[in-house]
Amino acid sequence: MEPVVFYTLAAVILIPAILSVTLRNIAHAAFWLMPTLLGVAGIFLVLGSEFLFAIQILLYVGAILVLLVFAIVLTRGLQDPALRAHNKQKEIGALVAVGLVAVLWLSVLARSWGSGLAPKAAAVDPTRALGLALIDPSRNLLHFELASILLLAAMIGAVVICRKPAGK
Amino acid sequence: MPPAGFDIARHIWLVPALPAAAFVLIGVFCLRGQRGARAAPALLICALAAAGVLAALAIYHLASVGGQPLQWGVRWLSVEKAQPALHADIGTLLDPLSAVVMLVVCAVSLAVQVYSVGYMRGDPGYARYFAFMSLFSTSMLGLVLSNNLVLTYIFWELVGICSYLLIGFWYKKPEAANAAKKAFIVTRFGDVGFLLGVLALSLSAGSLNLVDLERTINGRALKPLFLGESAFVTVVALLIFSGAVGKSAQFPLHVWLPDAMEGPTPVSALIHAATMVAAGVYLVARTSFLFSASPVAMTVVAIIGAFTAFMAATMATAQDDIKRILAYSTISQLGYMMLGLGAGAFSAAIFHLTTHAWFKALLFFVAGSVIHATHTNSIWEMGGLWRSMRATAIIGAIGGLALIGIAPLSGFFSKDAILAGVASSEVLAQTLGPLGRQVLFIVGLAVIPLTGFYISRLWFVTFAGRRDESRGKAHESPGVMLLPMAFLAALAIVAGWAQGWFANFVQFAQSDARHAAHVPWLPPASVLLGLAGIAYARMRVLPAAAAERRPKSAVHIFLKNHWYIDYAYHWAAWKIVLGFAAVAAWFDRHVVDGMVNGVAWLAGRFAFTIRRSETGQLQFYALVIFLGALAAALAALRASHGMWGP
Amino acid sequence: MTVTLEHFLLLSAALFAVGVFGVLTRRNAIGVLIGVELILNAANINFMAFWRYVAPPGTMEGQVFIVIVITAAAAEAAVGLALVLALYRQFGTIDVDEIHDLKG
Repeated sequence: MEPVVFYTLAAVILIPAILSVTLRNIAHAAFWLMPTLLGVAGIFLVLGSEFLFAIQILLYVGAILVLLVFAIVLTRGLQDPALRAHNKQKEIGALVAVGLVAVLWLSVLARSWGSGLAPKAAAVDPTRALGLALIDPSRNLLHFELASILLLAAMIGAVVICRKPAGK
Repeated sequence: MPPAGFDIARHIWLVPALPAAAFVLIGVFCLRGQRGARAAPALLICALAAAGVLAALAIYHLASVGGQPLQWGVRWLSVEKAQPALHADIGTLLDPLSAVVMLVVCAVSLAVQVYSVGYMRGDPGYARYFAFMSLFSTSMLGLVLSNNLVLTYIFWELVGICSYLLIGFWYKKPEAANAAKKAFIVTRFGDVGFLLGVLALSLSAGSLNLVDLERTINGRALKPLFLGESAFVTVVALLIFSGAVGKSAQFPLHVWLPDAMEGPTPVSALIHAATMVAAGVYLVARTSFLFSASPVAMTVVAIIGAFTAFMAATMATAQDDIKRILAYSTISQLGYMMLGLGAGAFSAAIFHLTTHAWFKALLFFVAGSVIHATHTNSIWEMGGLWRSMRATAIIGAIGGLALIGIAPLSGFFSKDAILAGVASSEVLAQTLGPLGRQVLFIVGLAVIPLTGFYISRLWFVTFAGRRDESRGKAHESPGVMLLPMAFLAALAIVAGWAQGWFANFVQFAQSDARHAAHVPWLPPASVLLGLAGIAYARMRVLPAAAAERRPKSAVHIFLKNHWYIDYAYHWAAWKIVLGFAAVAAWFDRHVVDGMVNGVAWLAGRFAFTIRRSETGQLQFYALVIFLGALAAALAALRASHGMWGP
Repeated sequence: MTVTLEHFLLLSAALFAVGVFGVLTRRNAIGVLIGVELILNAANINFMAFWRYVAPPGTMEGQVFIVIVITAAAAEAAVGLALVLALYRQFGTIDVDEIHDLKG
């Protein structure tokens, strides 16, 4: 792939991300999350998985982001615009973030990952292979089932937490 | 005669053991109920009678074999590794000195127990009284017979306990309880010195056995612990003397004896006149070899004795309580004994101890009789008892004359023996010069008219004159009380004639008995001085009522408040106590509480500081987690690369 | 210059750091959740890159994990937002700074 593709995707991911953690208006912040998520979907596509590209858009942008917007709508009423966006830890938080980036970049760049070569040949049909992996008991069926249980638990839990207290 | 083969020396330990058995039996059987209580005195009297017989046998035996000390004992503990090796035994030492004192103790104790049967009748603590009395008899006899200083010290403390128990016999009375405490605490000061002296001797001589010590000191084989040999011996002798000062109520530790009169009168008669207070005198005589080695120590003993004799005699002239007059008299006479000991007239001093036991106990019996009859201790509330208590009055007169030293009663002989010894004392001439010795002699003489005055005052106010009938009828004492009084009176009359035999029998190696010079004018002089005191009392004291109403002079008040010594001690003690209390309070408040509060404050500060990390805000906790992760990552990076760059 | 594994790793590290900044400093509870989503996405980029560049052909675990992570992210978003609503109901605000009942 061309480097320009990568760098475009990187910009689409990072710049809206920074905006979404910086803007004071929470609705704007949620909005700027979308390009980041779309950019990540693009990464999936570029790296060879159309299925994941679709899933990312469906789930993240279509479901999670919508959920965030709902939550914003439901709690927006008392959000005081005059309030600051960041708490007292802003400077230290920035320092920690920068430090993390530094450490991670240093550890990545400190060794050679044995690549610089082109990526390996893509699998025959990654979607099919993924599906087979998820169904195969000797491979990832257990993970699949556990994930579904997790979803079930989360659903029930969310309902329970959100319920209006009895007798009100 | 004892059966052949009966070795009195081996069995003399029975003498203290018999009253001990009585003590145990009384404790087990007699403390509950009426019947048991009545048996208590019988047990003790039997024990004492048997002990007295043994004592008499011992004297007979010693007199026939020629007065050498006889020991018998068992080894109790040894410390071989000590330098020098240390031994302590349980054993008896039977020699003329211990034998006669033992006999005196048995006889007086026996008389006192018989007297007590009458005096203590109806008292709820009847059996307890005789239990304590038997314990005391055991302790005193043990003290007399012990052959080493450790055992002596043990019995010394035991008699102290018994004194405490008996002074505070009517413990519900606050004055009695306080007097018992005072006695114990004041004698404690002396006991500390005694113990230090014993320790010093044990460290330097290796043995505390009296015979061994005598040999060591006479052979100049003592290893001094500090200073030179003679200075060391002086210090040790003075330390041991301090015990005697406490027990025998010499200045400055005399203050407990007058207060000890709170106890029952027979107790005063036995313990505080005849026996326990004589323990100090006995101790000095027992360790006479030690004192003889130190002229300084002997001089100190003599000076303290003379001063005490004079001081107490003056105090006795102004007291109103009949027992207190006798208490100060006891202190004064003990001073005489100390004076005799200090002058080197050991035998004379011990002889005076025995005669004093007879007539002082007797006088206390008389006092007990009148107290019992008139229910008061104050002589001014008595008077005219001559009519209703004739026997008591006569016996009291006998005792008084013996005390003053009127010939031919026993006190005359013993007192003159002491004064003669003082007048010719080489030791005193050596340390104080002939003039100093003369001063002590004159002080001793001066006490005689004072004695005459105070005891006559007592007798005249109590027995002469007219009785105030509104105070109730006074009845003569029962026979059980009169019998021992008569017994002692007889002894007070005749004992003096035994002086020659006594001086021969009870000899001290270093005493000056041999050359007790004849001061030919002494006997008539002492009698005249005594009579002068009597006459003065007769003039000034009667009529009793008028005497009481006469205004008191400053001197009188000074004497009556016993030279304000008690007040001084009290003041000083409180100053010391309060001083310590202030220091201790400051320490407690600032250091102890300070530490406790400081710990609490520290914990608080620490907690407040740590608490600031508990903000309750999740993002703060998350920050800390990420910081930690960052640090760990940095460390890992460093470890794997050793540098910061690619 | 070809795009290598390092490029993707550096990208995901940067996205991760941005997400951490959001988690640590946002006052709005929903803003914190947005930061969490960024972190999860950074992880997914990592997985994808490693699957493509390093995993032997035919190995699908990388993608399986991405699926699981997305699932978990959905579940977490649901529960998290339910919590936000409950917070809002309890405290009247979703300002995280105001919620410090555990203080002290």
